[in-house]
Amino acid sequence: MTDKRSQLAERLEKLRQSYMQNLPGRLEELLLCWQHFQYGHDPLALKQLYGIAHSLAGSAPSFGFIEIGSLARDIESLIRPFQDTHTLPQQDARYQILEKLKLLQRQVIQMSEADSKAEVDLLPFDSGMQSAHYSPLICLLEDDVELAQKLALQLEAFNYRVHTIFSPDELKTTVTQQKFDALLVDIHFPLNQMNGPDAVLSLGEEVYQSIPIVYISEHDDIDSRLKALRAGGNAYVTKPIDQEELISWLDMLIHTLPEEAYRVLVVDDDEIFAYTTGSILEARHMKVEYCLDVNDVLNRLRSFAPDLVLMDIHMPVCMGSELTAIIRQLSAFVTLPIIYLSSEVSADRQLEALLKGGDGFLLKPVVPDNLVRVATYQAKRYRQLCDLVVKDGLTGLLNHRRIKEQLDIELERAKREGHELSFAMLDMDHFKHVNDTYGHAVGDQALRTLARFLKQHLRCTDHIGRYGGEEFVVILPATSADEAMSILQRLSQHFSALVLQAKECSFQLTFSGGVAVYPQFNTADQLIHAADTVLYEAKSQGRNRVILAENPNP
Amino acid sequence: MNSASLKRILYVDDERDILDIVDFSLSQVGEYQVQLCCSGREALNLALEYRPDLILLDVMMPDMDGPETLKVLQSHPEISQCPIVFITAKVQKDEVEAYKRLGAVGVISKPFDPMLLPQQVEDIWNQWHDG
Repeated sequence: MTDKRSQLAERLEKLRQSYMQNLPGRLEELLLCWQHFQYGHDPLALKQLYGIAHSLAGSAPSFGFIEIGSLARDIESLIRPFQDTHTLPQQDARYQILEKLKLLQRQVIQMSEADSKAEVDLLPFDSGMQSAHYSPLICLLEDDVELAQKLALQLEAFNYRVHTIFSPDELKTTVTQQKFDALLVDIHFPLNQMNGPDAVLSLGEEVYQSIPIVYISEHDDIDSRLKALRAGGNAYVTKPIDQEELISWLDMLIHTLPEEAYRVLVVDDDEIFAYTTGSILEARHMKVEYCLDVNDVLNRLRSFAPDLVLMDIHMPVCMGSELTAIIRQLSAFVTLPIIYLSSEVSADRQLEALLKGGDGFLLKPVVPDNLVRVATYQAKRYRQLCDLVVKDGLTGLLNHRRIKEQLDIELERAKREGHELSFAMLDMDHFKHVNDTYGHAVGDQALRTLARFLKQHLRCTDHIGRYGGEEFVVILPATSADEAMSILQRLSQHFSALVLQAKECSFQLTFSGGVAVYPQFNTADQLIHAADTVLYEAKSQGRNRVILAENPNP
Repeated sequence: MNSASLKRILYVDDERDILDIVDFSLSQVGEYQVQLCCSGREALNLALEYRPDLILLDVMMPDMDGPETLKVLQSHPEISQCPIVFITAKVQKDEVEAYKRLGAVGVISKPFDPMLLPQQVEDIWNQWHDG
């Protein structure tokens, strides 16, 4: 870029910034006008709104805000016919105008948030949403070539990518050239001046504090552990390496297991405020639904199953605290977090609200950052609590009861939407033998390994449960028999190729599987029974295979 | 002042943001000399003082709007020969004709691209100057 052009770009950018600073203020004016028109019945306010929209439409795109300009023009077009004829918009037209205002509001919020994030590289808030098929990249620093190869293979079997370097000297350049999700670093390098922790320290505090680091060592003493801790170590794994433990740490430090986005229900009769609040959370990838009518709340809770409720304390019909008490009457929602949004400053009123079952307070006007933090924290805790009840302790998969419930839910959805649904029962082969030969601890580890393997290799829309001792269940929504068989057979091959390790012994495992498909089988019980029958077949035929149940009504 | 090339432009608009970006566009990108004016009422005095080659006039302004300002400018012999261009939100063809019948030599629509505005103005000038 020539000097002149970059100068121009710079000046234009300054103008743009200045225009952008004023946008939230103009949006507020717009919304105030709407309030005065809609609730204050002031027709002049509509005229004013028209004027602001017209101005935005004519200026925003010149400053690069195309979408905002376009929405403003839409609002302008919606109002113009009424300006010309001196009439007022009725229900339908008002609804349309409000919709556009909401979209405009969302744009402005997203725009100002995106801009403030551009300055500082913030870590993304843990909104519970991860990309399901992203393969985390690990940098492995290990001088033992054989061990390095073994580790790399094991990690790759669990959907990690591994880049190996053999000398601490290489660490700095490697980490500068590429972005890694974690470092796996051996501590001892007898042939080198620098050891692992030294190499990491040489990266600089900013770097090593910002990336998860797992140290590997032969030694288990406090001194070595301290060194590791002081060199940014988040975990410390001793040799011989327990594959399960290592992967557990990596998973936890990198959050690789996909989770559903947190669900928030906003209960407020003030539409504009509700949508303002909701759009802040939606911008952080949470799923938000709105309940503007008190009579609707219980139904919405049942159908949407939120992780958190945000509620205005002043509602028509009943006070927020009374509504909370009603919600708590239902056993399913006794622990559901309910946070009040209120301009209620009186400490007595706040206390009263909390005593009636609320979990917290946020004062209006809401500070977006605080809202996101509080919502994330509450939703996350609630999920964890639910997990305890709903997940199997050993494997982290859905427990027997929950997976059966999930099958009912998915079957219902399949019927509603006209999709096929595949159901598989998997059973670890020779499990009793593993327990007897290697001990129950190893048997447990084998189960956890299969569980993690399934989670890593199936889609985030699939449901996995531990059905019994060594029995697992997989629900594959919107999946045909052919697809299901292909997926499971591939899984079976890959799993059997894994070399598992427990202390000094290494061994391999296989599983047998039976698959039944809706609509060939119509009810949950039929699916379970059919899959179980062919699973038994698979075992009789020699194990390490997956069989599909035949269509009972061809 | 009708010189062969376009040098001096007077821009009239009540909106601060638009004035800023037009200033940038015409003086930085376009390299013209620019005089800004924020109301129809002041436009006449400024025009007499500044002697622009061309006047850009926003249509929607409170108090005195574009067409009214044009009338005032054209009734003054010293400035009536100066070409006037309207700036207005997206217009239909018949509206352009209507504006021209009022006496404008051209119409430029909002929103405009600040990088392209100078060329648009230059084109209208050339058309008028040669025509």
